[in-house]
Amino acid sequence: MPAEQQALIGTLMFFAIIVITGWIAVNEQSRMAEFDQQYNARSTQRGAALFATNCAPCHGANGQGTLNIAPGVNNPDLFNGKRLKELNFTGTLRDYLALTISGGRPAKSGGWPNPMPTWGQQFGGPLRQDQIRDIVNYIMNWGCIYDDKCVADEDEKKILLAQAVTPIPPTNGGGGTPMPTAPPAAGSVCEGGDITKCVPLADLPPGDPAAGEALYNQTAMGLGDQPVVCKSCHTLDGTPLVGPSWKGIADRVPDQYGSVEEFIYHSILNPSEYVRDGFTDAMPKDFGGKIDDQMLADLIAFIKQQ
Amino acid sequence: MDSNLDLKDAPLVKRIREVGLRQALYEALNDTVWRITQGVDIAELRAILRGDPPGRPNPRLRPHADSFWFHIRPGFYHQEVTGLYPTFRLGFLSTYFFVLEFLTGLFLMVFYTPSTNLAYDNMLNILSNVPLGRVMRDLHRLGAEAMVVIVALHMLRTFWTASYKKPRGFTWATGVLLLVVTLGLSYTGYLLPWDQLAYWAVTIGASMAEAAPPPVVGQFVNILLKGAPDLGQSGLLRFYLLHVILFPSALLALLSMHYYKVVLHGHSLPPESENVGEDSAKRIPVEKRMYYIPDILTSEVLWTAVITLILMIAVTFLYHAPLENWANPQSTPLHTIAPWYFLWIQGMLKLGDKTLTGVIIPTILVVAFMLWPYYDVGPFRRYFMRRLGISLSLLFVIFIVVTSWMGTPAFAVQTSKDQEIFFELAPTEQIGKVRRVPYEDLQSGVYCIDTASCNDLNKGKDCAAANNTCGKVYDQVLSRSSELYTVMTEYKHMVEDARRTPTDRGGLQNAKAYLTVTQLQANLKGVTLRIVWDNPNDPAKPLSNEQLVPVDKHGYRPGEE
Repeated sequence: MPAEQQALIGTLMFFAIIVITGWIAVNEQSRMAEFDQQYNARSTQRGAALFATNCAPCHGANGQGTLNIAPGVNNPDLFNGKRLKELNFTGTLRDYLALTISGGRPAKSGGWPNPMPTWGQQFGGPLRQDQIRDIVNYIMNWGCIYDDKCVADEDEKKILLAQAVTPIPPTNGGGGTPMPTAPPAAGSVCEGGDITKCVPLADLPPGDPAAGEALYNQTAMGLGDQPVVCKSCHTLDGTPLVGPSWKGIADRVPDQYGSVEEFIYHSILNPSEYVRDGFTDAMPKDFGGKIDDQMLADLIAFIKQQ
Repeated sequence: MDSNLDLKDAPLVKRIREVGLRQALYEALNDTVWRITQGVDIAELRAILRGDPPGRPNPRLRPHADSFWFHIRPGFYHQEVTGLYPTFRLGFLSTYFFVLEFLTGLFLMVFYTPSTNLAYDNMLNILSNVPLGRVMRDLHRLGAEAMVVIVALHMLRTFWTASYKKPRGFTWATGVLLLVVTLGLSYTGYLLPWDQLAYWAVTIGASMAEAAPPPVVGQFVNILLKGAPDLGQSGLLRFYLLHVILFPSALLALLSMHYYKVVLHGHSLPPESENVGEDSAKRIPVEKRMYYIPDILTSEVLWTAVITLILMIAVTFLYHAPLENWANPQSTPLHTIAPWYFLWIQGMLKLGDKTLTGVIIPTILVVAFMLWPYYDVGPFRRYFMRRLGISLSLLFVIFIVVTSWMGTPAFAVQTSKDQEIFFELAPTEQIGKVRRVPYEDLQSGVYCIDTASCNDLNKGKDCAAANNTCGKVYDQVLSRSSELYTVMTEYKHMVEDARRTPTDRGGLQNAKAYLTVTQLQANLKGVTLRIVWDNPNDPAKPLSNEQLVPVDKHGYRPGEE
């Protein structure tokens, strides 16, 4: 190709590059705004998944809270500023949520029997700052329903309002109306969920650790398809959450129990009998009505291996 | 007052007095141009632009002797090496990509901190807050991938035309090292965004370091590279320093040698243009010469414009650098793979010993390549006289392609089908099929893939009652135009395949599958996938797996990657 043609084509191409760059630059503001919107949407998605595994066991799948365990976070008072005023908190709601999740409530407060674990990695918890941000975004999205600009679709608003639950108020730790709980399932290891009428340890069938692990991971369910929620309070790697980690459990059987099996058996069915130092009697007392003999044996077989 | 500062005695003023203002200014300008171009004055510059032939001796060769930028380029080329064949401009393109990476890298460096706490947020900032930030990142990433391809092709071309033969053995050896450094640059840069993709791809590769024999050396190299047994803050900082200081410096040094050798020995002619055993690159007859200034220079500027335009179009319309979630050392995504240019090593790893396939074989390959010109000393360069060499190179290319394929999850990875199905529908890191369904198409409800699944789900429920949680077979309730229908159909096919697969190959006997859509929050639906299958050890207790996939209205745009 002659040099003149090369120069001409090259010049035209450089102009084209300048035009494309200019076009990108002109659209940059709207592109960045779109990125923000999308990033926040994906953050809410991740927050929903994190909430379901880490927060829902105590604060409820819909954020309604659990009586005697934890207050509701899907609470209109949180989003209209009433709660912050009550606490004389001067920062934003986002800050309040991020602070509470990161630091937890290591000291008991509001009349609740148990402290809330620390979640932020900077304070020794398991979650990174971006994960805390994701959960905050998810909780903030509950407030969306009170904002007319936020929900465009009327049908969706109706569904959400119909689904809405009365949250357990934050100062109601000790009492209030009991939440309806699922009745003890038939065939449970303790008759009618009564912990004085349980199948003795010696009469349990042989346990399968793999099945116990499935219960732990919630890939298998308890009676009546209810999850057996161990994971949200007990880890396998030594990290303490609400409850102690199971790691090395066989090496620290209290003197009052004859064997590790006996220790685990009593700890599952009647958690108040022995509470380890540094922890509170926070474990639900209804496992005897949620699992059958085989499941208990499986859990014991799995836990004692840790 | 110092008399030396007297304006009257200034050379320009003196000259104005002698020859007049106009002539003096022209001379001053001419002098400046001559200094900048290191030897080409205004008259010659105009002659170049007009396309006049050079005088004799060629004054346009002077910059090659006097200036920094031109002294590493030959003054003239043989006409036969200036076309597309035989070089395909691959060497020039390699350098082009290095310069592109250097410039875009400087831009990105301004907005980047090598800290595990900040790096990922820096990425978000570059994408959401820095004007042209995404373009620069895309160019840097695309350029890096292209550079690996171009450098490898450059090497392949050099092998095929036997341009590595005497006296160019050392040039070839520096070239092999340049490929290694290019891979190192690309690989260390891979980690810097500190997302899941980066973290796990680099973890696979970095575990090679540990396999270096003997174990005491492997442990030392591992600690040296990562600063700790696992990839963390120290590792990120070290990779960053390798990426921005050590490898670029090494590349610059090797590139200088490589270029110097090209000036010294000239470009080798196409094999068929020379007699066997002859190297005539330095004896170019005058009528065959094509001078660097202006012809080669013009063509290189043209190539720069063409490639830059192609890249700009690509990053505007076709390609965006991926960014997955924040790196999580506790959670390995399914089907983690190394960067594509290391897939061949991952493929070999599946066959055997880590030390042998991950360290020894690649090292032998690099050393063998570097030494190749010193034992392939035959004089033949023509294709048909080098049947063994060309066949070996083709075999090597096939070897790389096959082992790379073996590195992908398609080969010899056994995972339970439920996990495969969830990965296909809703992977933890990529978008997947479920999240691609438009928000409007996600109608709340419980959908089974077939009647058998529905019968199982609705067992013992009063399905006549209103507002129940009974499942319905999807093709009876969903419209065919709904994209949820399409996803359910794929879900069904995958579960049917899992039922047919033997249990020991991850199959799910008698599997039943459902998909539930609920309204989680405003603008947020929850899609739950659930598969239940027979437990081969205990028929009374079926196994199951469940995954919640939250889908936000604004999470994904149609047509997005």
